[in-house]
Amino acid sequence: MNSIWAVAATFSNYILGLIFALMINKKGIKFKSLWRTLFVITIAVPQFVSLLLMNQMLQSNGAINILLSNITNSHVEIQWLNQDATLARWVVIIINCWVGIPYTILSMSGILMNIPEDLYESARIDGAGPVKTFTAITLPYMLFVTTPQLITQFVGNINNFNVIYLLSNGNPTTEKFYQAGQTDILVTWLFKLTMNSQDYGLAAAIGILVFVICATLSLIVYNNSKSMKDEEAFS
Amino acid sequence: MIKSYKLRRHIANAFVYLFLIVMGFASISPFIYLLMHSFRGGAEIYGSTIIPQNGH
Repeated sequence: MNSIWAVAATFSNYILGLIFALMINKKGIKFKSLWRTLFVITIAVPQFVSLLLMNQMLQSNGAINILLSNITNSHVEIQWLNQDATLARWVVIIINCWVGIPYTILSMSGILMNIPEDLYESARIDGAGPVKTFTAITLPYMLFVTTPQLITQFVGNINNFNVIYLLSNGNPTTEKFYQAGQTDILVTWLFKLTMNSQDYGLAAAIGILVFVICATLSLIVYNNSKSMKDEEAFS
Repeated sequence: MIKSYKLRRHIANAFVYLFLIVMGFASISPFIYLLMHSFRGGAEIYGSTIIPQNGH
């Protein structure tokens, strides 16, 4: 669960954030500041408040089910977080996008605005279309600049306690795993082990394991990235 | 040639606007829900109306 979560949460945020930023910064799109504000305003509410709010909205008698009941004119009582593990995982990933994408939009917008315009002009003169321009200039530039940020986000998601604990609390519960629910990740499992069953030995081992995984992955990926190997590429 | 290019650009922009409006609304609606609920009190907090009836 932990690795699926980290990969899905990081890349969904990154790709969707990039798409939103590209759309907002597209030439000919008016009211750019308004669109940016609209997406970024959710940052104004502290993350734990947003997550607790979403938790309440997704309960069986919460706002989402009431809204669906009103739309369909029938009694809807979907267990978004407490019954079906697959549904709960999708919901957690989607809510994580809602919480995380505004930050990605902000940083991506900043980087997009700083890509030298002469690169695009040269590409246009050479006959490159929008797709070629994106794959040959925008994407390599974005990946070059954001690789360290991507690694940080990945490590942050491995340890993303808030989203899991405040939103699903690891539910749905299962007998298959010792003290862990079906949406628990290592860090929330660690918390449950120490707070619920005082199993400090296992919790300490998980803590060390998380550190080893994060440190190894960060070192390998960063040392093999273009950002590290070819620092002067876009200067 | 130029006219069809302009038409294509307008259609593409219309799709972008549509996408931004839909996603912007989806993104901001929990915030509006939170804001509206902060003005409710008592039993009204469990109601299903969007606009608070009695200000608190």
